Amino acid sequence: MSERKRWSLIAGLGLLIAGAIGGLIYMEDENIANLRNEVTAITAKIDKGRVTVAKTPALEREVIIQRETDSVVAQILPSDDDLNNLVRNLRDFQESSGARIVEVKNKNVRNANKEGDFDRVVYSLKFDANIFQMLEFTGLVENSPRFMSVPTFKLTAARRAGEEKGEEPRHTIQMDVETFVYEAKDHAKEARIDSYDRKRDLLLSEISKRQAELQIPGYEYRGQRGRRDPWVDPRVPRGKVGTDFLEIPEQILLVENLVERTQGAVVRWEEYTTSENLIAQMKARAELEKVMAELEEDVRQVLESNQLTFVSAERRFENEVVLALEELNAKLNNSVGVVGPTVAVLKEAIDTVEGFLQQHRYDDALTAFQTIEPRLHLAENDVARKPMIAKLRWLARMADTVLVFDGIEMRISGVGLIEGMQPVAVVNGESLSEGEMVEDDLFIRSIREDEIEFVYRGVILARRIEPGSPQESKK
Amino acid sequence: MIHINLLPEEYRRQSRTPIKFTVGICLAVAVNCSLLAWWSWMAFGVKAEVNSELAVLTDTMESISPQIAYHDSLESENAIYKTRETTLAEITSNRMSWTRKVDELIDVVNEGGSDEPYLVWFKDLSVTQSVNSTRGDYGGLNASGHSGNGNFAHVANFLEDLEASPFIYDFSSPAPPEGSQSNRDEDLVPAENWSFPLELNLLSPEDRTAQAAMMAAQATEEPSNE
Repeated sequence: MSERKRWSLIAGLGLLIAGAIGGLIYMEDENIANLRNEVTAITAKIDKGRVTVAKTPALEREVIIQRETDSVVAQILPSDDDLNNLVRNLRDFQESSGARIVEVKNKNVRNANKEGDFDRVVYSLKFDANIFQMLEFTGLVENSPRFMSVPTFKLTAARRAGEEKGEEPRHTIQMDVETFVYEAKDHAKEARIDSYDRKRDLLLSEISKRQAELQIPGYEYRGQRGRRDPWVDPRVPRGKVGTDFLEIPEQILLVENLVERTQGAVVRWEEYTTSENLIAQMKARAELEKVMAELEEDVRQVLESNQLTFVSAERRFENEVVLALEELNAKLNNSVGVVGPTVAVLKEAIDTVEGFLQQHRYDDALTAFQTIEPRLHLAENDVARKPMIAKLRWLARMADTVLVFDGIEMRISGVGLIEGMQPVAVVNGESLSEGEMVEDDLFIRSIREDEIEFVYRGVILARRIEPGSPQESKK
Repeated sequence: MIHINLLPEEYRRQSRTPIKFTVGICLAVAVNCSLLAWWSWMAFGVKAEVNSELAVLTDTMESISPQIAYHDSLESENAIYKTRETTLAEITSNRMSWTRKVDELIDVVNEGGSDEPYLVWFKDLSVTQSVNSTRGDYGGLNASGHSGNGNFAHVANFLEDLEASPFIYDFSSPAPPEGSQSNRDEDLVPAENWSFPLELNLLSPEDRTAQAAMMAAQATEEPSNE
């Protein structure tokens, strides 16, 4: 082999080996680059995953709260199965409000206005009621735990003719009641949360708060409150108006005047209660009593004359004058500086005396009465306390009657009960039959085998006849 | 030309590999050995290091994956709850309490004016509520009213009181007063009365919410001012 050929062979072999190794190096480099890319990608994924996982506790809390409040959502918007209960509820609302439902129709609008997972359901109701019954009814509908609303209604006022015949004015009302039915398309697959109960217990306050937030605020309807129904024609038939009839503006002014005077009496009451010394208090009290006396007389006249035919004025008179005066009288009676025993004291005295009478402790009943008796005359003129004093005196008289009757000496020698003849008793040696007088104020009411009933000072009392008479009988 | 070496064997010059050739081979071997060493460093050094790093990361990823899956399942569950809650909020925000509105209207009618009392009543009441934001029509309240007085100014007084009451908060202002005198009825007191329409348009749910917020703010301010 020539030298040239040898050189060529060596160079060729050398280059071939170098090329092969270079190829390996290149491939290895590529491989390493790919691995490095993979590392970068996984690192990014891990970082992202860590950020996500860091949010898990908060999300877990949120899901627990959502799960626990889901029952509230289900109550506000129940499933289809609950529609029958809705109709039952409407019936209950009718009963509570006094409205009279005559027609219930399902308007069948479901799916027409679908709101996500919620189906709209509309019931059309026809009922009659006065405006306050209607408000009671709509109030119950709107405050129902199930979400319900009234999107439309139409009221046609009761005819005047019916009212003049003395019928209760009831309007005809056509009302749509709308609700939604929850029908979940995507059921939430519940993730398994470890130590769920413990985590839930830690979130109880937040759960309660969220549940409260979900509740739909309602309007608390407080009833008629002395107001007139604006859908009832308030005009008064001229024929029904008496000689003392006042025009509506005059009625309003009359009531206005009485209201002002009542408010004046209330101001005087305030002055009386805030008086700085006894003299000022007595003066304020005297003025208050004078104002009250005049006002009560005028109120009595208004009530007797039936001057108020306008319902609105009548209601205002009732609420702002009559009730306010009653309240003021009650305050006066219960006030510390009131003359004579207060209502509370009288009530207590009555309860005490009644209690003793029930226990047949007549002496104690009289003693209890005698402790209060000297002060009773101070309150005799008070309208509110007068009946209480009368009752107390009557109870005391009863106790006294029993005691006096007990002290009356009577010898009952015997009784004669013969069929077909009037019964006879021998009292103090005299033969007496039913209805006959034993002595002043003491009459025989009935004679029985074992006891004789007497009427003494209008009170029925009995004495038992012990075997072996003649003897001193027992009460 | 042919050279013939005639010297005896022991005197002839010894034959050997030329130095150039040897150097050439050595160079080739050195280059290839270097290349081989480089490849070895890459394959057993760098690549092994990256591989081990990758193995560690893969382990980490595997350990974190269940937590991510758990998070994702919580997220999808929460999303369903959120959708439901949002829909519920939308439904409830559109609701109007007609109990409140009619109650407030009754209050205004019963107060009956402060300086010059009026006597107002109605023959009917029609209420509609709709959500039609494109036309700006959200429904309203209509009633045929009567004022029991010959003085038509009483209707204006009533509408003015209505505008000053909380009743109006959910409605736009009523139209200017208009009406006609009804037949005089001498059998009734008062004999004269004016009939007038009461027509009020509902505000949009957003405006109503804003009004409610304003009212709530006023209500909280009032006690603090006192």
